[in-house]
Amino acid sequence: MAAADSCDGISTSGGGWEKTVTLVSSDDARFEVREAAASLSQTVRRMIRAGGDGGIPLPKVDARTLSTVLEYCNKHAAVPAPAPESSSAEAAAVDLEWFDKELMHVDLATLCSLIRAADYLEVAGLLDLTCKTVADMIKSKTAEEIRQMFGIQNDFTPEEEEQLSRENAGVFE
Amino acid sequence: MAPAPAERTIDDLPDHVLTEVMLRVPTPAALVHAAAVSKRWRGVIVTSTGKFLEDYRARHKSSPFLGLYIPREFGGLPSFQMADSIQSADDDDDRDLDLQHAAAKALTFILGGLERHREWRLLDCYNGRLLLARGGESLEVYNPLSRERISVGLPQDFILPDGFSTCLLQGHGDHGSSFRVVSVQSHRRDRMVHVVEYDSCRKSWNHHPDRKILKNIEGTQREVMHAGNLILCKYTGASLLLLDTGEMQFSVLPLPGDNNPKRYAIGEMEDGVCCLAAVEPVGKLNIPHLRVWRLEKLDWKLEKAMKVAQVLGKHAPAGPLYYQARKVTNGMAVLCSTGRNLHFVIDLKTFRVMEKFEFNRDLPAFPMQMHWPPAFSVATIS
Repeated sequence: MAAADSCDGISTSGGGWEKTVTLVSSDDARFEVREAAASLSQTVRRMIRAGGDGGIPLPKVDARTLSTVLEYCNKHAAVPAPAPESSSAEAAAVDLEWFDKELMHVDLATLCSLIRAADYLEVAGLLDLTCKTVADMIKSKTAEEIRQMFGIQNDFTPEEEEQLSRENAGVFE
Repeated sequence: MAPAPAERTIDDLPDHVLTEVMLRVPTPAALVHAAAVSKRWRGVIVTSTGKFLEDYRARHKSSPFLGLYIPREFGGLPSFQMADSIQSADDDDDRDLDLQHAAAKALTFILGGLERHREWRLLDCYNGRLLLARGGESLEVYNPLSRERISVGLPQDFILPDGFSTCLLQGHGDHGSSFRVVSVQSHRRDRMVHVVEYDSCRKSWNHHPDRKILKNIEGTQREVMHAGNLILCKYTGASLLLLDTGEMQFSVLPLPGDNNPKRYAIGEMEDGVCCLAAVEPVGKLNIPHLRVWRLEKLDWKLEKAMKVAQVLGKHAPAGPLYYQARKVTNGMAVLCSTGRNLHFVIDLKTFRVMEKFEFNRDLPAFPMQMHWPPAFSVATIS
């Protein structure tokens, strides 16, 4: 209790029982979020505990990225935990999976921003989801196709390349 | 406050995040491609300590299943049946070209330099490699994907593996490509068994001096199965002969269950623990169940049991059919209908059907998985 009281950045919303916190993006946009949702971020959770004035500053995340992160957090924090293996638990899991899939329909640059934000904010579920999305893009592609997709420079010497193709004989062609 | 600089490409991600991405690459084949993208990517995947590969394996415990190698009854090279899910994935998201390429290579494995020979026989298939005998001349360990072939000459006094007495195990060395060929040689006349072992690290055969007199074992040796470091010899009687290949010690092990299962298969679970799978009638109504026991401290513990009909679910054909477990390896079991036309590959963790095959062959088929780990040559590229 004491920890929460000492923290001015946290306001209790009037209408409900939910406690909210204010997060401030690098470009000074303010987001009021339920504490339960914001706490999916370990970084934010620690800052809530530490307390502070006028909202929690997140200088490494811009507003656009932060709003997507919070969309994820709101959705995932909202899900109650029904009895496992009940039909409603299954439906909720399907719904979440669908939501995650839709959230990942973004361009590569946005996806990379999201990965960095998930890493900085320590939102484990989102980091997993975004990394998995990139990893799945690597599937079914040769090294050259991967380089083209991600705009990566090939820095192997021709000799090294030759060695690589020998070593990878098991899966190439 | 100024907005953070736009760091929005994959290569801007810090190393520990790039590692997280690589840990989620779906197959070892895709990992090999990723390791050839750039020096930085390679550095994340191929480390001198092998830490990354260890972590990757902890997440992806079993390598992708490509299909079944099916031995021919009267000798000759086995045939290969590709897993349906790889062959006919029509959804772009599901299609995995890496796996399709690998399975295509497993299918055309003869083209890789195995000359035709009437006396080829498939003895084992483990971790993506085949153990073949070529007549009475030699044993060959063959990786159908890399086409790597290692010829292992037969030692003196070697009793030719006429039944199934010889198997392919993982090697002692840290190097992923190392292997051992272990043969349990039984001498009918004086009822003795002894072991000969080929070690790919030492490139030589070793006769282990410990001979076991088969006092407590009834019947004759049938099939030799293996799980991790253990070799288990099936006998026509109710006991198994167990060989710990670490210490080369024999012991006698009773079969689990009330009614000793006559038809069973032994292999390892996904976590490497030895397990036995059998289809047995259960209860007054004799409803066939698939039962799986784990071997813990030389004692069988029932791990899971389920009605066969429930395991097969929608894959079960109409009409009564009897099933038996014919093979267990790496977390998978092969169940065959007694008419032996239908063969189901079951995931032993979920008890779900992974694949269904239809062919008529009497000998147990060998599941083929992609080899692990990928053969990176560590030191050469900096």
